[in-house]
Amino acid sequence: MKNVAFDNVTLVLPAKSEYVSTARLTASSVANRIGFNIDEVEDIKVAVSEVCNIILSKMGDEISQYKISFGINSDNLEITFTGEKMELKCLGESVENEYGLYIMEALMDTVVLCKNDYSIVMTKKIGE
Amino acid sequence: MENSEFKVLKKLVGDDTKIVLSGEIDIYTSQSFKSELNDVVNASKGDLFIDCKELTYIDSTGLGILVGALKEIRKDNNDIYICNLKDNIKKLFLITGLDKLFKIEE
Repeated sequence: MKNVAFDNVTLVLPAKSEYVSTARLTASSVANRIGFNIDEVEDIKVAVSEVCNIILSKMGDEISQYKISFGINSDNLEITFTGEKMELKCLGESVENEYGLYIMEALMDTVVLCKNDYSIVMTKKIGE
Repeated sequence: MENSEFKVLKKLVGDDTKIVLSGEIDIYTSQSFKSELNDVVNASKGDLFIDCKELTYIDSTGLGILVGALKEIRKDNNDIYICNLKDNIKKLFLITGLDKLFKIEE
C-alpha cells in the first residue's frame, strides 16, 4: 500500500456494453493491488459494473466514451466516473435500476450519483 | 483461469426443465441470456431448475431478467429453483431480497 498511496489509475472506455468487463477487470486489479481482501475486491468489481450499467443505459446513446478514475487515498479508494469529451448528465433521481442501486449502496461505503452535477463517485474504506 | 464466456445448457426432465448457466451475465451478455431464458420459459410446462455452479458473475440486469422469467412461470403456478450459487452471487440475492422470491437450494 505504501508504494501506491495517492496514485491514480484512469481508464477511458468506449460507451459500449462490450467493455464493462474491462472495467471490472481493472477494478479488481487496482483493488487487489491496494490490499483489499477477496470479498472486498469482489464488492468493488460488482459496484463498478453497476455504475457502468447506469451510464450506458442512461447516456449510452449520447456519449462516445466515459472515464473511470481510481484514486488511492490514505484511507479509502475513491472511484470517479465522468464523461470523456462530454459531461455526464446528473443521474441522481432518474436511476430506476433499483437492484443496481441497492447493490452499489450495500457494497460501497459511499455512493454519490450526482457529484458537482457531472460525476458519479463511490468510496470504500481501506483496512476495515 | 476460468472461462468467462456465457453459456446456457438446457435439459428436459419430464415436465420440468433444468438449465445450467456458466460464465458471466452482464449488460453485454444479458440479451442472449434473456432470449435463451424466454425460450425455456415458453416451452416449459413445469418448474424451472437453474444450476449456477459454473456461473461466476451476474449483475442487476441479469437479476432483472430472472425476475421477469419468474413472473411468467408463476402464471402457470410453477416456480424457479436456483441451486449451487457461489457465495459472491448469493450475496447479491440477499442484498436485493431476491432470496425470498426464488426457491434457493444449497
